[in-house]
Amino acid sequence: MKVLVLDGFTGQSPVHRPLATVLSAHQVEHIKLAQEDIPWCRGCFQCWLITPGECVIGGTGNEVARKYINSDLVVLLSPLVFGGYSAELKRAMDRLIPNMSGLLVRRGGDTRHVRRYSRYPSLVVLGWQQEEDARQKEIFLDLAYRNKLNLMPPSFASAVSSGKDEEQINRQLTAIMVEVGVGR
Amino acid sequence: MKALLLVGSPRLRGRSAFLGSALARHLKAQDVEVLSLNLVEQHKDSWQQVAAALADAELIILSAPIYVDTLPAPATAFLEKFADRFAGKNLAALLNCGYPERYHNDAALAVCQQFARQSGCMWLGGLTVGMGGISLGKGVSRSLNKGMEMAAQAMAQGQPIPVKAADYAARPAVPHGAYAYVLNRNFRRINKKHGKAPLDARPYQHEGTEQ
Repeated sequence: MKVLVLDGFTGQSPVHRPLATVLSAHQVEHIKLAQEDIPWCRGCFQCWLITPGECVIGGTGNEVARKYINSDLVVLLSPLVFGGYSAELKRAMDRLIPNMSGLLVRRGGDTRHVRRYSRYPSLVVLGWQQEEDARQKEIFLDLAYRNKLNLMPPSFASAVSSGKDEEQINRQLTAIMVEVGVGR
Repeated sequence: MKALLLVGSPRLRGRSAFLGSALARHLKAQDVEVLSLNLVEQHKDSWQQVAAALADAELIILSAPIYVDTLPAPATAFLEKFADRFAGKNLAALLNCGYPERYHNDAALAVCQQFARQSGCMWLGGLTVGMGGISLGKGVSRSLNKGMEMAAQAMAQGQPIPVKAADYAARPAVPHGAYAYVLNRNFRRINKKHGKAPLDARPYQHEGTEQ
């Protein structure tokens, strides 16, 4: 299984080692976004209108979007920042919109984007917080679920870990990876 | 009272700036002095200026679009960087999304509220609007204008934005399906005229793979 990890941490976290263990049987590319030069999405819409599917900025941001489409599983990894993603992760996520069509479609009473590709990778969203904070966790899992509705993964799982007990985090990750078909 | 309008959009003259200045006009009518800054434009050399503007303001309003279900990266980066400058302020958000439904703003609104909790400022709530797509939703509908006016009156008194104001502001200007129809038509038209590839191009699909 081809796995792409988009890592929004600036350094190491208690999630990193357990995640590597859980994914060890797979072909993993782990991108430390803080070390990459990815300019912010300019909101110019050219990837929807003029060069559909491709961002005009180019560089690593485009490569991340290309790798996203060509993965079987994408893991979004972030510390909880005000209940949301870190700016490092969000910077890369904002550059993923060329992978959707700009056109809108009404689906079950909601409006969504038309798919550009017939197949998207499965999605795992992993958050981590130093200390358990139920309110932040709720915001994070809601945000992850909203991403799931828009990124259209065939399977999806999300979790928020807390603290430094790597063994416990390992058990948690093992369980959620089963939900997206990743065995050990 | 002094207010600071932070525009959190990479588009300098986009809808966030437009809606922000419309709200600023209502605040000025309440004798609130409003300074406006686009936070995406800020850099090392202007950080001191931003810090001074934050220190000076009693009320801070973040006007931002929704990118991939929450605040755009530069807005998040700004909040991370300046969180410790917000203590004791009043904070409100003015959010807009490209989908017709207002609820696509809700995750970002929750993030703003959580930011208020963590940074020690008083959360006055937010106005959320949909239909921010290209060349649509320009202008301010009568109900949005009314919602902004009610919100400005409350904020000028240091009071939370009334639910009624948020409901007025969020009232859709056209039916959801009509918005999607017009947006799609405009997108197809622009692509036909200026596009370098068809709208449904798949540039990242590997050749020879079944996708």
